[in-house]
Amino acid sequence: MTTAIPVQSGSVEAGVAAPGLVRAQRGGFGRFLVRRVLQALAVILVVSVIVFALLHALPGGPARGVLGQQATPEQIAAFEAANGLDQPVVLQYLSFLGRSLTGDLGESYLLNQSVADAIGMRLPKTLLLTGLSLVVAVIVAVPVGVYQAVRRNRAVDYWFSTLAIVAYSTPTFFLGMLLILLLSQNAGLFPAAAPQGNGIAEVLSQPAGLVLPVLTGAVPIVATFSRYMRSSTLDNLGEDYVRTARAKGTAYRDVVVRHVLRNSLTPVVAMLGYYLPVMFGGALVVEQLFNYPGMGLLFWSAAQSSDFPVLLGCVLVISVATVVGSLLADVIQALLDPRTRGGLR
Amino acid sequence: MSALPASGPGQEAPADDVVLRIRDLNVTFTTGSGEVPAVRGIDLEVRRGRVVALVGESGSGKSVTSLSVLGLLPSTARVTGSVELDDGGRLRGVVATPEDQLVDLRGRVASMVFQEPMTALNPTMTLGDQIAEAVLNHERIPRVVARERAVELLRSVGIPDPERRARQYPHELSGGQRQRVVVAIALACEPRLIVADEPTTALDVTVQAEILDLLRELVAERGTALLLVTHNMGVVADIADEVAVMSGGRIVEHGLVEQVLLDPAHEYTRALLDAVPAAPPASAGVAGAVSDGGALSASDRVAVADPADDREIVLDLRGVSLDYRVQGRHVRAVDGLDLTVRAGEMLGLVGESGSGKSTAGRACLGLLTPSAGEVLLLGTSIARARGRARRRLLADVGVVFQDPGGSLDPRKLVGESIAEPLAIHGRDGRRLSGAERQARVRELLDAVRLPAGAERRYPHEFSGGQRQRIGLARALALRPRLLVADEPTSALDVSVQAEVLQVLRDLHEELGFGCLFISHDLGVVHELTDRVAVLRSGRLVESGPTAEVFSAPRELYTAELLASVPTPDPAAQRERREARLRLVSVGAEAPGAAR
Amino acid sequence: MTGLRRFATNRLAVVGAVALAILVLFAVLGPLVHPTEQVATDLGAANLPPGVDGHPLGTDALGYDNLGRLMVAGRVSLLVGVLAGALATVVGTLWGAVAGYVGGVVDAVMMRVVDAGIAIPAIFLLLVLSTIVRPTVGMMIVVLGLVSWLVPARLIRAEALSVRTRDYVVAARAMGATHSRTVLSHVIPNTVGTVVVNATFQVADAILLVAYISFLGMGVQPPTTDWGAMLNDGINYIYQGAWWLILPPGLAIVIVVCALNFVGDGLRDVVDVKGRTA
Repeated sequence: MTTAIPVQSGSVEAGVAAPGLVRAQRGGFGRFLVRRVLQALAVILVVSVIVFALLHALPGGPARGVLGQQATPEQIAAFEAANGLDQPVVLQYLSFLGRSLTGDLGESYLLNQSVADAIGMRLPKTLLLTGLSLVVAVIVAVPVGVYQAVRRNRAVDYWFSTLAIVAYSTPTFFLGMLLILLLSQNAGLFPAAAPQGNGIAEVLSQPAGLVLPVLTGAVPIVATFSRYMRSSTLDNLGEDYVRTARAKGTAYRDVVVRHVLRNSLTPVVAMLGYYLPVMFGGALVVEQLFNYPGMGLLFWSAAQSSDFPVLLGCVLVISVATVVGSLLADVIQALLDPRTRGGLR
Repeated sequence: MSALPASGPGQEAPADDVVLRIRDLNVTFTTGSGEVPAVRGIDLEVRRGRVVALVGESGSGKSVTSLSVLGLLPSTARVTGSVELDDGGRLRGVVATPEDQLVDLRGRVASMVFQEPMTALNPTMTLGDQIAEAVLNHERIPRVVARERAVELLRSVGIPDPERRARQYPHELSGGQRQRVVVAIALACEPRLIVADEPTTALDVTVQAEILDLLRELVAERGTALLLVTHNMGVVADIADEVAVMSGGRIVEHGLVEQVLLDPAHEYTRALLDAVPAAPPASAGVAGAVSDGGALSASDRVAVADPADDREIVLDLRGVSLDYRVQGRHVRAVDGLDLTVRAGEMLGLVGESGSGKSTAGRACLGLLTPSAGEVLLLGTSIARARGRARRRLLADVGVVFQDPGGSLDPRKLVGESIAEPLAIHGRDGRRLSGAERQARVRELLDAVRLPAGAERRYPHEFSGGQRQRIGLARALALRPRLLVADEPTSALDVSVQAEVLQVLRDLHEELGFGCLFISHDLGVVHELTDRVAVLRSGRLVESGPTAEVFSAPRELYTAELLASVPTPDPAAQRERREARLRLVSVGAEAPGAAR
Repeated sequence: MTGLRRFATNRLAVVGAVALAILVLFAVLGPLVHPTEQVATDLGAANLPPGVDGHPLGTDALGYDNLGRLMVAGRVSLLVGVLAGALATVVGTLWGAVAGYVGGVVDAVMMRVVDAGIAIPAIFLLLVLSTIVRPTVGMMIVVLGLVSWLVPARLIRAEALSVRTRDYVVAARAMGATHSRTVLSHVIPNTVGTVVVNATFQVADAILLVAYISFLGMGVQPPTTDWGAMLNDGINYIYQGAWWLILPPGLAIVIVVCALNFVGDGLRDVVDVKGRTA
């Protein structure tokens, strides 16, 4: 959604950046993997520090955060002693880290449920929604981007590019509202309320309700990735190997499908990793708008009611998911490229 | 244009003999700033089994012509005239021909070999598949059969172990081998014509010689015609039967190779040939001691620093080793290098790509710190000097880089760039006033033969050769005692190169600085330098007075390197080639030697 | 001069610049032409359709004139967007330039911090922060700026790394130029274009983020409002067909963000050209 704009406009136009791959090429796959995993662990560590710092930045500290604004100083002191909050900060951090690693994220004080359970119930549904949006988006964005690159600087290219800018300049919630107005209220095609229920199966049993949320989530991804794809394909169309392929009598269409497409997709896969936080941010808004019972909605309700354990638990889980996602994207990208894959042998 | 028997324009030739006929070809590019003509009305014929070279400098239109043969020009090109290819006795036009018909012609009737083997192949497709694709484009045969054919083709272009190679990817091969694969793709459907656009320009000289041998064999064996686009007159002499010289989009001279190269009729051709640095002698020293190609022994080092020479030593490398760190691993780029440069002399540092010569050059500038040994500038170790002392030391060193586009800050006026050393160091220990600086800049521009007023313009307004001269002016602003020139003319056309080298030579004579001249071009080094050091895989192979080393090399590697440089005289080149082949066979018998 | 002309050849960029100018004038000077009451509510005149009682765009649920509200909301959106974008650019540029130029361990540590920041989705972080600190306009600027400096930091680092290896920088170092001289005279002048172009996108980014936070009900508090908050208020009436509460603020956001992106693209055309005259 929002942070996509500078990434997209700034770095991609100068050639899709694939820093992971460049590094991988020099040292072989094994080294690349070890290095990349260590990097991800370092990032998760920094994330945990940030979350821990947020916990302590709460007005009155974590105690007041949990006990509420009405708590008396005596109650707070008792709570702090009980939870080790009177110990040195470093020890507190280590114990926070230890608890997080064992999946103990604390108790929600509104849901009567542990944070881990609350998230565990909703995360799969968010992943489902995000995954569906992503699949729809990729199916649209890849051909559009390739087509634009092949027809570069023609009218159709300009129109698609302009449309893409308009699409990602449109806030997701505004887009959702427009879709509700048009497709639900006026045309009556799809319900405006998302499927409810506890499990994925229940959600999937109401496919009509999924249409608008998935569509709303997919549009900004299409806008971003059609541009990535266009620029990556353009880079590859300018490569010498395209000329070699044409010179041996391969039809242009086959050159694009057999040679260019695969090479253009590889860096875009890595961009997918960088784009994950934006997609999770988008899911939050979509879930709130359509009342979809995922982690975004849980987070939003927690923000409304200052349910801090849930808020911070969600931040931690979503960030770790992002880091792991980018790691996977980089590894897949490295595996797709024979230059890096070679190091495995 | 000189007459060429039965091949010049206007003379009808038997149709079964001509594989390519170009008539009144004009190519114009539409750009943002209007129409730019690239080719203006050329006529050319290529016959079966003949090698026709199309030579010229950058912008002459030779590459555009080669692309138009296969209809591969970009859509911004407007083409008139006719280009016809022989398709089994029938001439088929290429100009204004629908794409599906061109696809049918490409690869089957005529195919192409490109300049840059490192990028010409798809990095994510196996070599076998890339060759098989060429076959499958034109023949309805099972994929398995096409794969077998690919293996055969790899074998025929001299790739060892072709079955295994066919399953590999381009990055697993060296540049020379990749170029062989590109040639295999071009051969896949046995076309009548191969168009080769600078096929050896990106390669080291020894590899260039091998690829030229391969092309010569293929043409002789299969009767394929070859249209060879090149800027290198030595390559022309080595392989071509006929030459067409292009300039400004026109063919200014066309004839048999001996005639054009030895007795050029057009003054442009003459100027071009004059600008080519004379190739070093090839065969004379082969008989000399052929050693095992190891590093220099202690007694050889005498040649590095002649004790009889009492001029001041401005640069002294003592056992310098340099490492690159790649993912935590150390890779040795330069290994125990000893070099000296005395005031007023020019030392050529030659070697092929990856020999470590540029790395050594950077260490001389204090940009890299040796992992062993010492770099002494004017007797002081650059690695140990700090702060002001270091800066004072560097004030006595100038540097010129290879890339004329990258070595000047695009956002600074030329005057500012030239004055940069003055701004950093001042002169004679004091800061210069604006007026003094301007005066010095004008002096320097004059010294490198650029017009006054150039200082108020930006680098992009100048040509490559002019930019290199600006770089030279900047390097000499403080009258340094040492100049490090890293391939300063490698990106330039020969005529421009000759100009820049002349300026360098004149200034060297006038100012008397010591110069470390790093180059892969043995001709240039032969012409320019007093002494030479040959580097291979980071080790010094041999060094000594240039004339001596080049006429009587003591190492097989040096001898082969020298013999690989082609000379623009067909008869002499034939001898060089034979000398080289003899050396290669000697090398093959002595394991651990040259190759 | 040439730069301006090059910008003018990008028609969308010109359209964007004009649209931006109009929107800024609308928000800043609009209330002088069309003065309205935006503090005290008037529940008697709530939810009027456009054109009734001298309300060209109708009124909202609290009886505020919708056109006037659009103007004052625009002031907040634009102000927060521009200042937060500027803050993010300054912080990000310094961070990225230092990491890129110093390199080594310092670079690795600085970039892991950036990676961690980027891994936490901005909206999540902003919602947590707005439950901790009371969201005033000034607070929004600081918080948004501190959340969105990460992307420019990455970009400028890459740029600094690439400029650092150019031959003219290497030549300057070989001439004995000090680090500060190299940075001031070569690295900064050659990255400033990227910074300026990115700043444009950064502002667009910030305007969108403000809208998201306000839409989620965690933005500036009434009676202060911005375009996102107007949409949040209006969504409750979407099924009653009160389109005038939705479309104007929504379109305002789309137009201003589009315009900034078009202008950014145009600026890039100007900056990217290596060879340019003075």
